[in-house]
Formats: sequence, structure tokens, C-alpha cells
Amino acid sequence: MIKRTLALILSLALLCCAFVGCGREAKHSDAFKIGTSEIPKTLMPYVSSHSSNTYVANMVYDTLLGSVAEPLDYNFPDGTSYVAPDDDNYFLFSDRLCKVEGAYPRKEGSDYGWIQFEPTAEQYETQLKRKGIQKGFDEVGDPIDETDEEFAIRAERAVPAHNWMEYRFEVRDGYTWNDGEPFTADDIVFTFQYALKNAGSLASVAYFLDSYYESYVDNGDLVLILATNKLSDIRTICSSILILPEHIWSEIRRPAQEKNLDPVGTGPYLAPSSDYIDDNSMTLIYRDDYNPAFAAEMFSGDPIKKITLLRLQNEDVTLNSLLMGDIDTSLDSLTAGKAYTVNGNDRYAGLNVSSYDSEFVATLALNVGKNGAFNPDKMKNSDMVRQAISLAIDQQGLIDSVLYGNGTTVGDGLVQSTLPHALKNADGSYADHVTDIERAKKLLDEAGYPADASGMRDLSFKILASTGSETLVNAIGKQLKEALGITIVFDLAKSDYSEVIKQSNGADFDMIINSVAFSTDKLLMFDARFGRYANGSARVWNVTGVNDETLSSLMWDMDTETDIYKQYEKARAVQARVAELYVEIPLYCSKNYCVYTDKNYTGWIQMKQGSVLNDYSMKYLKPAK
Amino acid sequence: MVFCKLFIPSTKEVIKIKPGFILKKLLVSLGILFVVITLNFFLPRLIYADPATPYYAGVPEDAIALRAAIREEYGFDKPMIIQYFIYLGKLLTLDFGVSYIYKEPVFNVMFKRIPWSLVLSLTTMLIAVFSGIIIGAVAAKNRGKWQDRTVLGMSTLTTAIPTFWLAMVSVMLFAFMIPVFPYRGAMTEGYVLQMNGALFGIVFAAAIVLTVVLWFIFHRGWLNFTLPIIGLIAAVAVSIPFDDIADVAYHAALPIIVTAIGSIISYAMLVRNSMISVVNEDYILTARAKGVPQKDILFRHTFRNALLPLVTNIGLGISGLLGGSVLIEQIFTWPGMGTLLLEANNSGDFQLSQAILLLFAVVTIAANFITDLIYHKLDPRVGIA
Repeated sequence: MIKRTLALILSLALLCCAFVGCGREAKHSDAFKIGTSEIPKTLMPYVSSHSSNTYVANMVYDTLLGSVAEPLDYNFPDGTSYVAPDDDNYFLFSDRLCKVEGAYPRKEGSDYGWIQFEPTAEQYETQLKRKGIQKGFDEVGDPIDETDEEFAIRAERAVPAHNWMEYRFEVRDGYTWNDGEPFTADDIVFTFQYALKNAGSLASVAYFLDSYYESYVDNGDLVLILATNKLSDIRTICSSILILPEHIWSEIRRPAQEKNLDPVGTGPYLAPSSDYIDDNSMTLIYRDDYNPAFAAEMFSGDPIKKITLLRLQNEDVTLNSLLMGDIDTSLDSLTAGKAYTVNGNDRYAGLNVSSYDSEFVATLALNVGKNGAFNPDKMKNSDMVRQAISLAIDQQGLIDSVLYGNGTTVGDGLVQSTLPHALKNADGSYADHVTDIERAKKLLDEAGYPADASGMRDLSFKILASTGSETLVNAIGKQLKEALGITIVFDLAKSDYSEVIKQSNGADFDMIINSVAFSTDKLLMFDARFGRYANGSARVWNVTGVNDETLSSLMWDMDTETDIYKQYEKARAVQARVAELYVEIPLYCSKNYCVYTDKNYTGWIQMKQGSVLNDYSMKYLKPAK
Repeated sequence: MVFCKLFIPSTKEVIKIKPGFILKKLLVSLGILFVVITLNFFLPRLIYADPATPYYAGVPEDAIALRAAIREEYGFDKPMIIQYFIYLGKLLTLDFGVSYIYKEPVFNVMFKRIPWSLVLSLTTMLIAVFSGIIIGAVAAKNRGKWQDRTVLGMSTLTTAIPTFWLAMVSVMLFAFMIPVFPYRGAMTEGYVLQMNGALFGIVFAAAIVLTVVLWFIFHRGWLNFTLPIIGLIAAVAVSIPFDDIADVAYHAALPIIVTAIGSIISYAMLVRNSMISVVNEDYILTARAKGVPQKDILFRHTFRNALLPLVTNIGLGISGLLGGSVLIEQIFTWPGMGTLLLEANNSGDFQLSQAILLLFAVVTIAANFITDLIYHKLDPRVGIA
């Protein structure tokens, strides 16, 4: 029997060896390889918001202009340097389908650039009606069934009556669609109109609708009229709306149901369906017919001929694939815990991790709304309790326990210190969040919540959060219990979207883990908008339920300011008011981590606020010898 | 062959089954199917207060008109009951709609994945059942000896170690530390299966026709089992290049080995316990006393009765063939139905998840129906006039 068993084991071993011999070399073994958690399900550029879909779309299609971001090191391998934007040009663009001149203030003697103008009554009326796509929400998150009058009030508030913007762009010659058809300015106008017409299907361009009025071709140039007085809108339109070929898309009636295999674009890469394997991998191939002049702008020397995206199961597989040289980088950011494990660990020698601050700030929002625990009508001395909680939060402690020490502290105005509109102290220094436990205890004593013999107070709150935030909630709970004797309970948030809206708008939760974002052009995102419409309706995501006239007014001033530097000043005023109210307590700003290896390709360029897989890296990466 | 003879009813045996029995079973199956279809439609919609929620991805919260357009496009604007009847009507024409995430007809998306699930689960099941029966029989025959103790020990081990954990460890061990097996996909990166569908269809159809003809001529149930399998193997061999077959086998080896380990021991334990309980029955003792040869006692009396619980288990196994092991497919990035269902559920792709669950239900109901027929073969008291 033992002999037979051994024979069986040997046979199985031989069978396994036979299988091992069946492996073959990858079809595109010489490609630049990127790991991702998802291969795009569709190559329709405006449908999915997954990073892999965006990446592929940007390789195949083009935008009006390229968006230039700031590298960590201003000097590039080819001896050139990064040029910071000057005071007149707030954003730095690069030529793409159009020339950059069109995005900047029109200079005397030039036909190109933007000018402001007063809209005609007809134009204004037209835009007011189109704004009907937006609607307000009541305090529990239900859409308001508004009357015509109420709608008119809100529409008038949403559409500026003055200082609309007209942009004139010179369209560059030399672009062709990858099916051989010539590219024209008409394709751009078609794309805008198509996006508008199919707004319901093309979800990711929906924001574009807010400010677009019309576009047309004049003498071969593109004229774009925006019903806005905000400069930052052009950045979105120029660098995120991918231009579609009219000769293909005019035939497509239901874009939401379009898989768009073998996409026709003006970009440098093709995405052939023969190399597109659902949920497994796809390979982008460099276009042989790509305009050499444009190629010289995008690549320093020979371009990368093939880029393969591989779907990988999880972070461990991603890291091991990098170690084996199966991939060169990953589209997905590492988690803080995994980045901590990789850094300085001999097992992962050869892997590089670059990090940058996320634009999101994690906050603890206190519900002062109608049904909230911190509603001043329900809680005595709510303002003192809120301030005490804020003073008891130790941001660095949270960063250490939740993010393994890899995070950035944030000021009470909810903005990272690195951004130009960060709240400043009188001496110009950055206003940090203050932790003062003794003062917090005193405040609670004065507010009528004394500690008992065991140090606990008659204050108990639930923090509404998703499962992913449980560690953070526990860390906050520990801090508040140890510092002030406040009891904190984790309350699992439902994932249902409409429930979340309701929970976030005047529902009866006590506190919620929220995130707000400031960035150079977005300023305070709608997540943290505390303002209310003229008819009293709240913007969705008024998480704290606060209704403060001063804050609403400051928000409105910031939103409608056309000069970006003045807008930064107004943003600081908003921050100061937010800090005074103690309704949203900043916890930290986490980091995004990119992992990459030099094993197959060298010349990576790190960014101040972006992934290592960026336009600069694509330009300078070269195969390792 | 002996197993097939035991399991598969011959022509005469099928004719013997009371027609009312088949009709009753069919009606019950259809009833269950209707309930499943109904639950399948309503349950996913109850998960979300607004079932169109996943379809709003990327649409601003206050863009109510955009959201209304999406609801209309996917039919969520109609009352639930109307949506239900529309759904039933479409089912009759096998119209499962268009997958919201894949932008393809659901039918196409599903049927691209089914063969991959079958490759993994059918192979695993065949290996597990046959090895399990042999190992179980050997353990039962040598009760208390080292063979039996080994099986018992393995059983404790495989019960204690979850298959997904074993899979993850295997990937780390045999794909990264000792890189002998691949860690992702069903084929080497960049390759797709080159299959001559027409040739496959012709060869496989010919095997089925031959099976039916031979069944009518020879009335041998085992033909029903062996010929289609031989036909399937022949069809695969002539319609797919050898390189591709070998590549798939290479990629499937590790997931199959990992999954089969637990299943083999599980089937072995089932057969062992069942045989041990049957061996002590009076009729076995009687057979021995009558001088029935040992081989006949084993196959005609012991095996036949001991295999009843195994049939139930195989029936359940067949129903799980398409679903496969979601976790194993995930861990090995295997493009099967389990992964697809998970994806459909996570993305709220109702059309896709409904169709997949419906397919699983149909397979389960059909497997149960066939199990009942096999039960009759093993225990003629079931369904005979």
C-alpha cells in the first residue's frame, strides 16, 4: 500500500510538473505594465469613474488643453525645468487640441483668450431655464417640490446675471482621429452639445452643465461661452472633457449602453479590442501615425510603445508582482497600513513608495440641526460642549493610531497648511488646530456637565460612520473618554445613498465622520457647504445642519469672486467662521501612496500633489538596461 | 463504468417511472422557479430605498432631472409591479436586458463566463467525486487502520482550514515564493482562447446524437454519461489549439488542486461513513451467508445503498457548478460566474445579478430533478408504479 501511495504522489507531482511546463511568455512581455483593481468594463470615456477607465480614456482621447501639475523637483532629466504660473495666468496649461493662449485673459492685439461680457436678457433667460436640472433638498434630504416662484428665486441665485465669460481658442492643426479621419473644431462643438444632450448618460461630465452656455466654430476657431464668472470652471472644461469624433458618436443614440471597443480618439495610443480581455488585462498600443511634433512634446525620446493594464486581486499580490517585475506600478493607492509595512522592510527592497497629501480632510461633524444632539435648543450650552470636544481632539494622536504616523495635521478652518488659502494667524503663520484638555475640562464644568467620581460625565454620543472608519471612531472615543470622560459609541452608517443623504441632513445622529476638500481651484467643496438657498432650502450635504447667516453670506462671497487671489482671501474668512462655530472638527489629512519599481523602467517623476504615474513620468520613463 | 451503471437509469428503467411522478416533480420545479423569479426580482430592489441608486454614480446629488432621465432609461420610473410584469415578459423571450456595468447584453456577458466556471468547478468535481469514492471506500474497507486514520486526520485538517485561506497561502507559496504556478487569470496575459465554435458544436452535437441513438439501441444508462464526456473532450481537442488547452490547464491547476483537496476528503468521509453504516446491515450479512461473491456484495449491495447520500451531495454540487467558489475565483482572478455575480451585486447591476441568480436557480432545480431520477435508479421504491 505504501508503494502504491508513493506511486500516486509521484504521479501527481509529475502531473503538476507537466502543468508547469505549459506556461508561455506573455503576449506583450515588453510592455510597460500597470496593476489595477479593475480593468475598464467599458471604454466609453464618460461613463465610469474608476481610475483605470480615466487612465485609458486619457491615453486614447484628448482634452482641449493639458493640465500642468507641479513636480516635486523642478529640474527634469532632459535639462528643462518646470515653470510656475505667473500672477496673470492662475493655472498652468499645455497645448493640446487647442493652444493655451485661449484659456488666459485676452491680451491687447490678440484674438485669443477670455473676456467678460454682460449677457443679453435672452441669454440670461435661456440659462435660467436650463438650470432646472438642479433642485434643492429639505432638511431631511427629500427633494423640494418647489413652486415656479421658488424655482425662479433659486435659479436666479445659481446663474450669475453679470460678467459671463467668452473664450476664444485657436485649434491646432495636425491632429487626426486614429481611424484616419481629420480632426476639426466641429468635433469639439459636437462633443459639448452631445454631453449636454446626453447628460443623464454621461454622468461624469454633469458638472460641466453648470456653467456651459454655448460653443461654435468661427473662422476655424473655437468660441466657448460660459454662464459663469468663476475662472476655475475653465480648468474643468479644458482639462477633463475628452473630445469625441462626430463621425462616430453622431450615430450613437444611447451612449450609456455603449461599450466603445476599439475607441476612435486623437490621443497617442490605441486600445485594440484584440488586446482587451474583460476583467483580466488590456494593452494600449502607440499609434504609428501619431503626429511626430506632438509626440516630441509628450515624450522625451522614444515613446513607450505598449502599456498593459493587469487586474490584480489585492495589495499583497500587487506588491509581489512589483517585486517579481511583473508590473512597474499600480493605479491604486496603497493603504496607510500597507505603505507602513513596505517602508524600510527588507522583504520589499527594490520597491519605492511616494506619497502626497490627499485633498480630503477627515472631519468629525457635530449635528446642530433640527434633530441633532448638539441642537442648541436641546442641549444646554451646546457651543461650549462643541468647543470642549474640539479642544480634546489630539490630531497627531489620531494620525499615529489610525494612519501609522503618516498623515498631516489640519487647521480648524478645515484646510491643509500647504494650500494658498490656508487660514493664517495674525503673524502670517498657519493656524493649527489647538488641543488643550484642561481648558476643555473647564468648559464642560462651566457648561453644567461636571465629572463624577470616576471622571465620567453625563455626555454620551454616537458617531455615525461606515465600517472603514471604525478604527478612527474607536480612536476618537478613546481620546474623548480619557480626556473628558465622554462616552462614544460607534454607529454603523447604512450604505444606501438616500439614507445617507437623510442621515446627513438634519437626521437624528449625534456625530458623523465626514470629509471635506480644499484644493487650489475647488476651494471648499460642496460636502462642507453650510449655505442655504434663498427659499430656506439646504444644499445637500449640509452635514452639520448649521444655519448661520454670516457663514452663508461668506460662502456666497467666496463662490462668486472672480479674482482667484481675492477668492483665497474670502476662503480664509469662511474658514475663520467655520472654526468659530465648532460644528466640524478637523481630524487629519491622510496621504495617498503610489508604489513603483525601477526594475524595468527608470525616470519616474514625483509630484507634489499627484501620483507618480503622471504625464512627466510618461515623458521621461525609459527601459532599464 | 460500474459507477455509471449504478447511477444512470437505462431506457427500460426510465419507462418504468410513473408519469405522474415526473409530472408532479416538473410542476413542483416550475412552482419553485416562479417563486425564485419573483424573489429574485423584488429582493435586490428592497436593498435600496431607491433601486436606481447605483445607476447614479457620478451624477451630482442635486441634478434631479439627470437622475430622472436615468430612472426613465432603465425603467425604474414605473411602478414596481409594472416593472415586474415587464421583467416576466422579457424572460419569456430570454431577453435579460443590457448589463449596466458591461454595456453588453446580459446574455452575452454570462455566456462568456460560464465555460470558465465549468472548467474549474466541473474538473474539481469530477476529481473530487471519483477520488473521494475511492479513498472513502478504501478507508471504510480498512476501518481503524492507518488508511482510515489518515482520512480522518485529513478531514479534521481540511475542515479547520478554510479553502480561501489555503488558496491565498498557495498563491503566496507557489506563485511568488516558488514561482511555479501563475497567480492570476485563466490564460497567460494577452492571450484569449482561440476556439472554433462551429467545429466544437458539430463534434459535441454528434456525440449527443450518438448517445441518444445508442441508448435506444442498447438501453444502457452508462452510455448517457460516458459518451457526452468523451464527446466533450473530443470537441475541445479538435476545436481549441493545444497551446491554449495547455495554457488553461496550467492556469487552472493551482485553483483546482486547492479546491479539490477539501472536496476529495469531504466526499471520502461521506462514502466512508455511509459504507460503514451499510456494511453492518442485516441484508449484507445475509448476502455473505448466502455466499454472494465479495465483488457483488460490494457493488450491488453495499455501494448501491451507501451511495444514496453521495447522490444528494453530487446533486447539490452540480447546482453549485456555475456559481463555483466566489472566493477562489476572486483570489485567482478567474473569469468565472462567481466573480461576475459578486461584481454585479457590488455595482448594483440588477439586470446582470438577476439573470445570474436565475440561471443558478434553473441549474439547481434541474439538478434536483435529475437527482430524483437517479434516486429512483438507486432506490426503485421511489417513483415506480
